[in-house]
Amino acid sequence: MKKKLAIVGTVGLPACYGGFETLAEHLVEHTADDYDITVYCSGKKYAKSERKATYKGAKLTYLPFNANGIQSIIYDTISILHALFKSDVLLVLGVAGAWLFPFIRLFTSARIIVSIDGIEWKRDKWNKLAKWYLWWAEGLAVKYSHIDISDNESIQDYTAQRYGSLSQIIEYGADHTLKVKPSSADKKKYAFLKKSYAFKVCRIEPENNVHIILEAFADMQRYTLVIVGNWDSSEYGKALKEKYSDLRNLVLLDPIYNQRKLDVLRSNAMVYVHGHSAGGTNPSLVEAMYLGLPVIAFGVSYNRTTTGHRALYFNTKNDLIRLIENTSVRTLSDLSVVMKTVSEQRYTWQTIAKKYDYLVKKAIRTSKKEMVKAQLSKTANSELINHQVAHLRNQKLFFEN
Amino acid sequence: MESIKIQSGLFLVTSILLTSLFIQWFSKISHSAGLIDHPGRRKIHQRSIPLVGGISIISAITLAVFISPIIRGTLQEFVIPIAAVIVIFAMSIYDDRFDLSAKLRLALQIAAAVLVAASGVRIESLYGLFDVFEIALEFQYAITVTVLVGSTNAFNWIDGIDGLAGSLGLITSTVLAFIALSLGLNGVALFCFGLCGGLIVFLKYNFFPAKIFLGDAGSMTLGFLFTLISIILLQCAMRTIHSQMIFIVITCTLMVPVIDAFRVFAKRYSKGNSILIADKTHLHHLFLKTNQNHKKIVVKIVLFQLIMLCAGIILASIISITATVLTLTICQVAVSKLLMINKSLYRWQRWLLENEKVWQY
Repeated sequence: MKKKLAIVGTVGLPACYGGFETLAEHLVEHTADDYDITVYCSGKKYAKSERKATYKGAKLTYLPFNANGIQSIIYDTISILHALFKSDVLLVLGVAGAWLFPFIRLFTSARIIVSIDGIEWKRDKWNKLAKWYLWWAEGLAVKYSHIDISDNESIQDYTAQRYGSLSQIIEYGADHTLKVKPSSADKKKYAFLKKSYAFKVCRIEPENNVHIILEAFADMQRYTLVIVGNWDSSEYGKALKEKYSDLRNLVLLDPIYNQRKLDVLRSNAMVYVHGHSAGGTNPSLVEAMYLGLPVIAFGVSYNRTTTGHRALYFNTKNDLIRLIENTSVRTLSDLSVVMKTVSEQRYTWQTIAKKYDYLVKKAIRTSKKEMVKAQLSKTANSELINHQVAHLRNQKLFFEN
Repeated sequence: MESIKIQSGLFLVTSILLTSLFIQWFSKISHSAGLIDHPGRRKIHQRSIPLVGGISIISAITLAVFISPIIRGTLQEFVIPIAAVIVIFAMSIYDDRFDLSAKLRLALQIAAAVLVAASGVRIESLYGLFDVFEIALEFQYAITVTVLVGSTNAFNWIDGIDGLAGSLGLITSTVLAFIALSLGLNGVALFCFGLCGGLIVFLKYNFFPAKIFLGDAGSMTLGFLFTLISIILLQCAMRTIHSQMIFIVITCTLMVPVIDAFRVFAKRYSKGNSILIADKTHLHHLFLKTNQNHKKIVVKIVLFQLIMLCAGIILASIISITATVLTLTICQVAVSKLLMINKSLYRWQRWLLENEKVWQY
C-alpha cells in the first residue's frame, strides 16, 4: 500500500504564487505514483469555481485561511492537525505551525519533515513580534522534526551551529522556465528587447538591495536595466520609482504574473543582477541560472553557494559599476555556460524530487533525528572535570568557527 | 488626620533638603573614602561614579527622625529590627568599599533576618494564598527569613541601570506609606514618606547619565527596609477586613524584582551554573538588548510594575488571590521569555551578519 504524504504550508495547487507552490507542484508531478499525496490549499486564493478535488494525482484539501501573514499560523496549524489523521509523513513547508511539533512527537507516530525556508526571522519585512514568533518556531521546527531541510549550505551551517542538527540541503528546481524568443509584438511592447539589457526580478524591499543597483545604473546611463517588482506596495518602492523613473536607461516594470511574458524578458537579458541578501537559495536566481544568464550577485554567502562560487559578486555600488564596465562579453558568455552547467546539475525538478523522495523514505524508516552535535555535549561539566578532560569542551567541530 | 498630612509633607520636605545636602557632602568625600564604582566587565557605565546615594538617603532619614516625635515613638517599638537594619547598612557600606564575599554577605543577611523574626516581626499568615492562612511558628521563621533575604537581594540586583532601583523604590515607599496611613500606623507612614523624599532627590542625580549610584548601602538597605516595613504592615493588617487586599498590594509592589530574581536563579540552576555567580540576564539587561536608552527602559519597567499593581488589585477582587498571584507571575515570566528570545535573536543576527561575509574572497 502506498504511504500517505501530506504537503502543508503552501498557498496551493495549481501553482501560481511563490517558490513553495512551484516546489509542491513538481513534487506532485514526480512522486504522485509512489505516494498517496494530499496538498493543503488556501481557500482564500482559489475561488470555489477554480477548486479541484485532485490535481496531477494529488488530493487537494482547501482551508478558509490565508497561507501568508499572521493567518499562516492558523492555516498551518489546522492543516497539520487534519493531516495527522490522514498521513504517515508530513512535509511541512515553513515554520508557522511548528509550535505543534513537540505535541506531535509526544503523542503520535507521524513523521515530520520540515523545510525552514531560509532564515525568516531575520527578514526586515516582519515586525518585532513576528520575528520573535518565527525565531521561537524555527527552534521548535528544527528540534522536533524528524528531518529538517535547508535550501542552502549557509543555512545548514547555521542550523548546525544553533541546534546541532544535520540539516539536509535541498534547493529549488528551475527547469520549468523556458528560453522564449521575443515576438514582434513583444518587441513593440518592450522596446528594450531590441538591444542588450541587464535584468532583475524581485520584491522591492531594502533587503534585495534595489537601491544600490538603481544607483549604480543611474551612474552608467549607457547600460539599460530592467527591474520587475512591486513598486507600489511600499514607501521604499514608491520613493525609488519616483526618484528613478525619469532616467531613460532604467525600466521599472510592475509585477508580471504571466510566465511566458516573464520568460521573454529574462531569457533575452544580457546579464542577470541579483541583489537579494536575505537567507537561502532564491528561486529567481536559480531560474536565471537555468536560463543561462551570466549572474552578477550580491556577495552574501547564500548567493555564493547557490552559484557554486562561480558568478560575479558585488557588495557596493562601486563594485557593481566596476563589474558592469570591465567585464568583457566573452567573460559573460563563459559565465553563462558555467551558470547553466551548475543549474543543470543541481537545479532540475527531477533531482529535487528525488532528494525529497529519499528523505520521505528515510523518515519512514527511522524515528531518530540526525545530529552533528558532539556526544560530549551531553556529558555534564562536572563529569568532565572529574576525569580531567574538561578542555575537550573547548574543541571546535568541523562546522564551528 | 489633618495634622498627619501636614507632618507627612513636612517630613518629606525635610528629607528632600537633608538628602540634597548629604549627597553634595558625600560626593565630595567619596573619592577619599573610596566609595567609587569603577567601570568593569559587568558594568554598563564608562567612568568612575560615587556610590553615595544610599548613604545620603539613610543618613538624611536618620537625622530627620530626630525632629519627629511620632517616628521616634514608633521606632522605640522596633529596636531589634532597627539593629538588624544597621547590620545590613554597615555590611553594605563595607561591601561598597572593600567587596565582601557572596557567602559572608548571605550569612550576615540571614543573621539579620533571623534577628528580625526573633523580635516578633514575622509573616504569620499567607492570607489565603494556596488556601493557607495562619502558619506554624517554624514556618513563620522560615518564610520571614526567606522573604527578607530574597527580596533584599532582589532589590539589590535590580539596581543595574540608572534610575531603575530608585524609581521602583519610590513607588514601593509611596505605596507602603499609604497602606501605613490607612492602617493608622502614622510613624511608619512618615518614615516611608521620608524615604520617598530621599529617593526623589536621589533620582534627580541618578537619572541617565548618572552622577551618583545608590550603592549596595542603598539598594540592600532599602530592599531590607521595604521588606521589613511590608511585614510590619502585613502583621498589622491581619486584624483588619482588608488584609487580603493589603497582602496583594504589597506582593504586587515587590513582585517585579522578586520574580525576576527567582527566574534568574532558576535559569542559572537549570544550566548547571552556580546561582550566586553574576550574569547579564536580569530584566533590565534583557531590555537593554532591545536597543533602547536607559530612560525608556526605566519608564517601561516602572509602567510594567504599575500595571502589575493595578492588575493585581483588579484581579484579586474578581478571582482568588492564589489565581491572581499565579496569573501575574506567569505574565512576568512570559514577558521575560519574550525578551530572552529577543536577546538570543539579536545575538544570532550578529552571528549571521558576520558569517554571511566570511565566505567572501
